[in-house]
Amino acid sequence: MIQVRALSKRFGQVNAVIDLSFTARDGRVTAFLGPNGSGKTTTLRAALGLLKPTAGDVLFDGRHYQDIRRPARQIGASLEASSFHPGRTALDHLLTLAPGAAVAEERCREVLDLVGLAGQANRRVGGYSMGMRGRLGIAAALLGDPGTLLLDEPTNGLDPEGISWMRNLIRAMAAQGRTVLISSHLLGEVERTVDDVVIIARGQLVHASPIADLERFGAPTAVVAATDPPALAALVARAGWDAQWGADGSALIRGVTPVGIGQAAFDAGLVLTQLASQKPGLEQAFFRLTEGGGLQ
Amino acid sequence: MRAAVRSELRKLFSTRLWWVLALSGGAYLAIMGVAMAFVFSFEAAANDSADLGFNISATSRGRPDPALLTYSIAGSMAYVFPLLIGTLSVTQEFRHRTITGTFTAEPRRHVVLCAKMLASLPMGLVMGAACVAALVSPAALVFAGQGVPNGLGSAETWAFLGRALLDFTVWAGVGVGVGALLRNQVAAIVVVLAVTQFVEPVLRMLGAMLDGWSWTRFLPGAAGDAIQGVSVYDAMADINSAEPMGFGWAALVLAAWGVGFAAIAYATTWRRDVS
Repeated sequence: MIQVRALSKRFGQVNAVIDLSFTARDGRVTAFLGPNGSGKTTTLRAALGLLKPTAGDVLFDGRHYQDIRRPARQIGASLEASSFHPGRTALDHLLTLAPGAAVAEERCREVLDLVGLAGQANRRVGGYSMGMRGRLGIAAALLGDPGTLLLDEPTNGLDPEGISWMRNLIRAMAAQGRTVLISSHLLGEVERTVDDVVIIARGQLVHASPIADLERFGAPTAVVAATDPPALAALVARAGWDAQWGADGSALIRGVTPVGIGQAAFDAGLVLTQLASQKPGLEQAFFRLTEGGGLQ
Repeated sequence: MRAAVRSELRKLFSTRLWWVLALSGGAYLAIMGVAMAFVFSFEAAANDSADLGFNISATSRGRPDPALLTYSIAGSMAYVFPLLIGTLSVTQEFRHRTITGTFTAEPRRHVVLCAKMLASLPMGLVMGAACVAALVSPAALVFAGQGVPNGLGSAETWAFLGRALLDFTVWAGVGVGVGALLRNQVAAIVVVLAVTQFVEPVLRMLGAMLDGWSWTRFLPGAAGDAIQGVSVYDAMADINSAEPMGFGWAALVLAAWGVGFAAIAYATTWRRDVS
């Protein structure tokens, strides 16, 4: 379990994270979402002891990261900027981490195989693609077989096949009872992978819930069509609704409930041929929650 | 700490940097050594009849053996190579941002700093062995060919070469202190080259000439030469006032520079946020 407790981090005049609290539970995949610059990486870095919080702290199963001996055996982390020496091979990179994780060369080869880099083990990382570097970062995080995984933007640079592979890997890790926290600025990429979502904007928590509950936060949306399309268009313009017109003359209207649309149509004397409520998208809910919450 | 040291050793030996530096140092010393061996051989041949004006007999230690004087350039001229490997072992981590992974693997930052310093010592020794071998083998052949004793039969020479290795070893540790203090790779290289190739030689020359400047023998380069016990600088600059330090004391003085740099780094920038 990861507990972020009233975490704040200020860089000079900028409040990167403000009084942030949330929990990532065992056996579940928690998505840590927010636009670029919303404070995700700062939070992860503070969790790993790389930054000193201005206030608050982060606990892993009740302990601060700095107090954990051989942390690689309990927490596997792959940060977005996780960088490699370009002149070192993938295997050598893992071998530099092996003593800290108390594992032998055999385990290094095993995780390289697991992330699909077995054939590239002796190639210098300088020649790796973004996707391969991402996979190597995951291999490094898995090296000590940790019960907690912290992955910053794990799907960055991966092709569709890689994203699908990553999804399965993350699900498998959680199914084994591990705590998995993955950050992303795109809900769509993790939507089908995660159990819980934690959303931040401008360094502050805006939403935390199981992913199913997120849908409620989307704007109401309805599809509407009438026997007299020009009259419908006039009504939409009069009411100032946010509408998207289909080729068949129907309109997708956002921000108004079907009841409101029906009432307005009745008042205008329009005959509707269609009026259906649409499930709001998760992505839309995400945008609503984080609106304008990116770089300040 | 053992895990951290093993990790640092693996880092040092898994990139090309160390053998590129060892090769550069070795090549430099081999050329300089052969050149000096020829100069000393000719001087030895001419010594009975004429004085060449290059009087190496005026030191307090009497006339240094030409072979020893040649071999001494290992420490006095090539110490910049172990110094650089130590410095770069730290600055590269900041340059390639691998310091994130290093501090994640071992969050106790003082342990990381100590491990880097300890791991640099065997690296310094290995580089020293490569450099000394590259210097001594061709130079000894030149001496032998010119009929000048090359000293390889004497225990004194081998003890001297052992002290040269100690010199290289300690210098690598000093490099880690310098790297931790400067962190920026370009700045570190510029400072290392400026200080070792210009600032300190000038200060030592002045120290040899001016009264009250005997403190210059505590400068790192001077201490390093005192570990070897024989140095071209001393011979040419005609130092005869101060009693030379013993090699043990000299090693402690040089090590103190490295530890001092590391301590200042730890007290200032080493524990800062890494982002």
